[in-house]
Amino acid sequence: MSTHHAFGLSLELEEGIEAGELPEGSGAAGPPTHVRLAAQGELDARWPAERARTTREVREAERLLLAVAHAPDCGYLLTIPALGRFLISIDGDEVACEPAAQDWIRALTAQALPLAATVRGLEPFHASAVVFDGSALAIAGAGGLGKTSLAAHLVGAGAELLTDDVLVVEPDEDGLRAHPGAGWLRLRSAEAGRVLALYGGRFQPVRPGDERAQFAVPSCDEHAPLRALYLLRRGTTTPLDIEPLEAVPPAELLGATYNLSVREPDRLNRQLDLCQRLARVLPIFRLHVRPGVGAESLASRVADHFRALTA
Amino acid sequence: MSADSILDERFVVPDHVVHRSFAAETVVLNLETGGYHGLNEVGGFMLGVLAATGDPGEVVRRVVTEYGAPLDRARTDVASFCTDLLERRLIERAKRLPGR
Repeated sequence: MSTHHAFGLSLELEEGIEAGELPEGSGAAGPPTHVRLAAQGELDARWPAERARTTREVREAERLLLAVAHAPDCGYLLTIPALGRFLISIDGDEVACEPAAQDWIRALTAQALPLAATVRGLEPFHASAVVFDGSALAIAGAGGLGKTSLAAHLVGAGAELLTDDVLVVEPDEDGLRAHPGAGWLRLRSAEAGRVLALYGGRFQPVRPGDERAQFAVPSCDEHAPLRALYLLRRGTTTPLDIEPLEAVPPAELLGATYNLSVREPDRLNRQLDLCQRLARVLPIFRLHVRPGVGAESLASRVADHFRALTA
Repeated sequence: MSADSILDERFVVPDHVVHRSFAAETVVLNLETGGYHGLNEVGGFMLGVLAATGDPGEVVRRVVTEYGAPLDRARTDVASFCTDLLERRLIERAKRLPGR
């Protein structure tokens, strides 16, 4: 058994589950979530298919990429045909894993654990986050806008990675707390080549991949106060890269939340509350991704902007 | 339904409907359906008064006071607003107490 933490969860991983990208130690409050391998046939035996309701499906053409089903007396069943299935218990204290591929840990860290965090009352956003001098900045925006590339270049500029792609934010007495997630970055090959050439030793190749290579980078293993949110937007003609947003469209914050599978009233209420709090207490900026301005240059401007903001 | 008749009724925001104000917008969320609805500043103001008092007539008075709207226009707008919320099941008619 190894102890880790991520997405605001304290995790106990059964022996044989290798998740080196998750911070070690019990750095999160609350009882642990046990992650274990399911016995042969266990998920089919436990899952009450006749009482379950599909809450989310993602398809590419006719091919199923991801499905989540909910059975109120059992929990959530996450199915990613290419990687495996995961049964998250009704209160999120257990994740039973049925791997279907060697790279199945990716589905555990990117999908199953954020789902367990949501079930446990935490709120994940589709965002990356880095830490400068103990303060976190988050980057959110639609897929393909370059959140991960920007995070990578911010790490190159001296930041520590807090999380990539999934950020759990929690209100606390001082404002907002950003929790660490998986501490590795997965970069497309072209971007991987650029960061290795630019930042050398800060990026340690961990796992090669056909589409994306995985890197261990300097990371922050503890939660950090969230001091700013940058919302990415593509293709505007504004001369400014970074603009303060005085009236953040709530739809944009709600659209940046991560988990669309859990639609229980308590969760929807909590999600709306947190978005309202973000809008009220957090400096939020529009970050324009303009043609011809690369992630390296944008990261440099964000780093300077954030350092000035938190000085 | 005429504007006069709906303005004489009493309404409540049911428990399954929550609303939160943002800088330039109010978000109304139906927890039963998961549906979100956006209201502009004046709509958010009207919902706030309606939720607090249940009285569309009071909403009319406050809209006239706060925004300087002509009375006839305010009555029409508030009646239309209440009708819209009713149709979307975001408010319900208040149950009259026995004997009243």
